[in-house]
Amino acid sequence: MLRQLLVAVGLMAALCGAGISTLAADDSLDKAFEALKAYDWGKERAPLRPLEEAVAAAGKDAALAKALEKKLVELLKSDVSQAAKDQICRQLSLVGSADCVPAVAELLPDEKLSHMARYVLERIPAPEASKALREALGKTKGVQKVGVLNSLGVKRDAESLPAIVPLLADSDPQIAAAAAAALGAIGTSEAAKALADFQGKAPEALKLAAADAYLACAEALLAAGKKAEALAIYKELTKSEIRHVKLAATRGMMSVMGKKQ
Amino acid sequence: MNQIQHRASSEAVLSRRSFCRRAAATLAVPYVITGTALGAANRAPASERIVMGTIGTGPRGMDNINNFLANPDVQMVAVCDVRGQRRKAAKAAVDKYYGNQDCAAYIDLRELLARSDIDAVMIATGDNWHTMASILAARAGKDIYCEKPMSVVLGEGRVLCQTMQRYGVIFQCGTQRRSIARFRFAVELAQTGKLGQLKTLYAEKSPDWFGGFHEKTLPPEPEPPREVFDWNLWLGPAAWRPYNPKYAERNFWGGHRDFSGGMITEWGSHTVDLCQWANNADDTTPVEFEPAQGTIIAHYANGVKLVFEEGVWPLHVRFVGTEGEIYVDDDGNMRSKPESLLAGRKFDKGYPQANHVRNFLDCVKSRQRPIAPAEGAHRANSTCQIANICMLLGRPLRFDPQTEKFVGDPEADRMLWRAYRPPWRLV
Repeated sequence: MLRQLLVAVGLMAALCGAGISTLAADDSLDKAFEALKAYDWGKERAPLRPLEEAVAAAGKDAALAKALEKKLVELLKSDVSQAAKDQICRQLSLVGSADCVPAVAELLPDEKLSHMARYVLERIPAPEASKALREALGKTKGVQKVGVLNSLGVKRDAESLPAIVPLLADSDPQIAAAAAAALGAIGTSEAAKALADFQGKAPEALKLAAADAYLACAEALLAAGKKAEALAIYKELTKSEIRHVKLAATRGMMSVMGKKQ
Repeated sequence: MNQIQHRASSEAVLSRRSFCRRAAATLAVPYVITGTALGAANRAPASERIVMGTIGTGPRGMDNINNFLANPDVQMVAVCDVRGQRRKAAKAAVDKYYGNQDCAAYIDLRELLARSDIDAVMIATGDNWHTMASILAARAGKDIYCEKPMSVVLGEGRVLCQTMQRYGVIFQCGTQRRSIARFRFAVELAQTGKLGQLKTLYAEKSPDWFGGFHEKTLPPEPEPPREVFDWNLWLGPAAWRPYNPKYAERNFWGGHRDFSGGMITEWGSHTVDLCQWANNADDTTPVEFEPAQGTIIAHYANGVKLVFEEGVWPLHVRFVGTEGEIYVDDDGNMRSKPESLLAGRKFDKGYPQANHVRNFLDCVKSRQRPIAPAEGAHRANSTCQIANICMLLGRPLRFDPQTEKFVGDPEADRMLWRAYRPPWRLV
């Protein structure tokens, strides 16, 4: 199977010229997967190179990408080391599709691999990746939940709003702050309402995070053409007791009004 | 509280910020103006003083500290480093300069940034931390002088720019050649049409000190106590791996994509930056990139070509137009065609930072745009990052500077972003 892939890769190499021309039509990709199985921290990475080159070439070869993804998922599900799974996730972050999401999502609650799972999912544009992150909110805790919230913010996943809003009241300040930041990044009118409520309720230690999220939300609303809503946020934040937040809000008001700063 | 030492006295930390606040308060409550507040022969009065902290105190950080201390209107009150030896050495250097023991030393940058008396920070960590430290500083309302390159992946740089814009803080990237007369002169020749219509820009990409990207991992070693080396903080937003001190060596992390953009961003932050400046392209990037015999050739939308030139010491750039060309390097060499472009001109050698630091300090006071603002630095660094992706993928790429995405290459798009390890977050 992998030898057939290499023929495809070889063809790509011939078509694309430099960069993947080092790929040889031999069993080096099979060997790379074998090396990956046995990989651990500090081991020589040279045997993994054919895999990395195949992944680079797969961007222009959907069949190759699919075959590599399948093989990587198989390995990810197997009993390989954390270092090997780290390497697998790096490759899946480039060739992964909705197909790999279930296997990757399994790692989200894992203390050691949660970040690398997010490394994959943040790069996969398929809606399945956002859905998996959304569902992981109920399966993660502590810093892993913070990471999942951060990813939902990166993806600006408005569908996660009902699950995020209650986390503003979480007893873990890191989770509450991450929830606020995610809502700010999502930046919808509904997110703005939740953040408006949070401004008054946020404990002292979270005032700055709450204000930053609210400012981000105003920017998102402004970008979406909702000037009045953005202006309302800026007006409210001009009353902030934090000097640089007050200044930022004033700048925001000026930008809404189209004044040069 | 993880603070190692925080002994700054109320008098020592009397800043522009706090002086002005207190001065205003004297309308209601009398305030005694001290000798320190009024200044001295080599020290500015408090109303003109910029209170600073330093984050990252390796060789570059120490060099920068000395450049800042040379300005009488700077008061360095705190240093921060995850490595104990560096932290202690930096504190000792600052204390020696002031003849006291007042400089506070922190392991965690968040504690330094929480100090309300600090107006501005200088950031000279490893590249992996530049974006996150700058964003945290802006969220805390500090002005920022940050070493280049300002990000590891392109998406980070965009968020950095947005955050600087949000808070209106002064951000100066440490691309000090923008403040060196001969480089500026060369740029001005290009910008003012003295070279005719600009055709080709040559950005030297430096000899490869790091031996190319290696992406190695290292065998685990026992993790030292946090006071000696805070490993978790050193890794910051990058993926976790077990401790090994070699990761923190400049020549190791400089060739690892988790921590750096390699030599292209290391040198290109300067050379590409100057080329883009010469091309009036501070707000854009080239639109086409192609691999070319181990290097990259790129094209701007205005037709100008950018060549990443194979590295030859000293660092240099060359701008070629229809009517002439100019070469300038770090050793002070300048050559032009026609030679008359340089007639009667004399410039110094070297690449000192003094003017660049001064420009930052002046802008902190005036609130004017510094010479190396976030957007320009981001775009120059972006051009280097795209070149890296082009070399990695080994295929021509088209890029849209408006959307900051590739055209028709979703795999390349994925390389523009990386998930941050929690609790660190960009957005």
